[in-house]
Amino acid sequence: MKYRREQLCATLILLGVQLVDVALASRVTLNVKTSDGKVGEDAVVVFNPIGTSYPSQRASASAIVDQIHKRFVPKVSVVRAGTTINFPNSDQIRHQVYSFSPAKIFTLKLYAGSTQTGIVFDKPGLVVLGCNIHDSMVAYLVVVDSPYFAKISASESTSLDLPAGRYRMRVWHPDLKTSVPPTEIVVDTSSNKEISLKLDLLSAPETVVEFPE
Amino acid sequence: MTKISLQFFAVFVLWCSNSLYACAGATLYARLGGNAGVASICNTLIDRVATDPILGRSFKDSKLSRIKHLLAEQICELSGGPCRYSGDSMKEVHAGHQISEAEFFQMVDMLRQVLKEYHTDLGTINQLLKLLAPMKRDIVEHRTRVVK
Repeated sequence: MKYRREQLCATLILLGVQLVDVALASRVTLNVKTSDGKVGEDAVVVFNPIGTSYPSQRASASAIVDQIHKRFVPKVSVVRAGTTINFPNSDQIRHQVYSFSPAKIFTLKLYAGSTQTGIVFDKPGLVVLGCNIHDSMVAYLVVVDSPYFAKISASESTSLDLPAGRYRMRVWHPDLKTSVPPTEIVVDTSSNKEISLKLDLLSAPETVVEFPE
Repeated sequence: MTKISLQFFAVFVLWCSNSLYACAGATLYARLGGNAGVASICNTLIDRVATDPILGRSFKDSKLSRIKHLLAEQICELSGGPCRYSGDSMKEVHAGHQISEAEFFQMVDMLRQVLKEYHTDLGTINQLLKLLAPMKRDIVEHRTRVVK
């Protein structure tokens, strides 16, 4: 009986902590457009808290970058450092994924129907993925050191919950003309916040701008 | 002196490439023109098959420079040259492309044509094709027949 009461107590405390957490967070809507007014699909927005700590990464976090009809799907991913990426290869032919990016240098041979162990991306930074066999295949993996990030979707509005505080906001897109300097934003709990950004994109840039440090 | 020996060499190469018997001792690799010869043959062949209306489908979106390089490496090794093929097995390379027997033989024909254009003698052509022929079983995909 006593044990149960303690258990209930612990549950209530946990619940309380969670409620406080939610109460102090604010919903931030990201309104990212291109200079010609279209949704800035695949733009990555990352928020690093200034002066506060943030929850640590789950050890088991994983994501998928698939190979479908000689394309990487999704083309852009944003994950926290320490995430395992699996490359399942849904094509019937082989691929050879590689990266020369300093954040992770690797080559991975993928054969149809054989399973591969995933690759852990443990260092923050931009990783550009290519295929040795198929020139036109390219994907981008933005590895970040914060739990607060979003990728802009074309089909639905993008928003995330941010605890009240100050943040350093970084924005990136594979087709950016020039890199966007990081800016500081303040999130308070008095109202929901909308951040509007306009990105200057090129249709086929020769070089991809780095993800800001 | 250098000029003279170069001329001798050129004469020898010409004589060699035109007569199988004259160069009976030369390796197949040498008779294919060595490094430069094998590279040219592979470049021409791959450019041609990649744009072929039938064979082109298997080369769509593929990095042709890599295929040319690896094919040259493979032919160099097979023909007794100083290379080691560094690519995947023929089975792995062709898996999933569903290459038919007709496509395989068309590629053989195109290789034969390219070799002829490079003035390779018939004996040399046949010797190379004989080395490549056993690869057919790993390249052609035999679909299981459905019995109704």
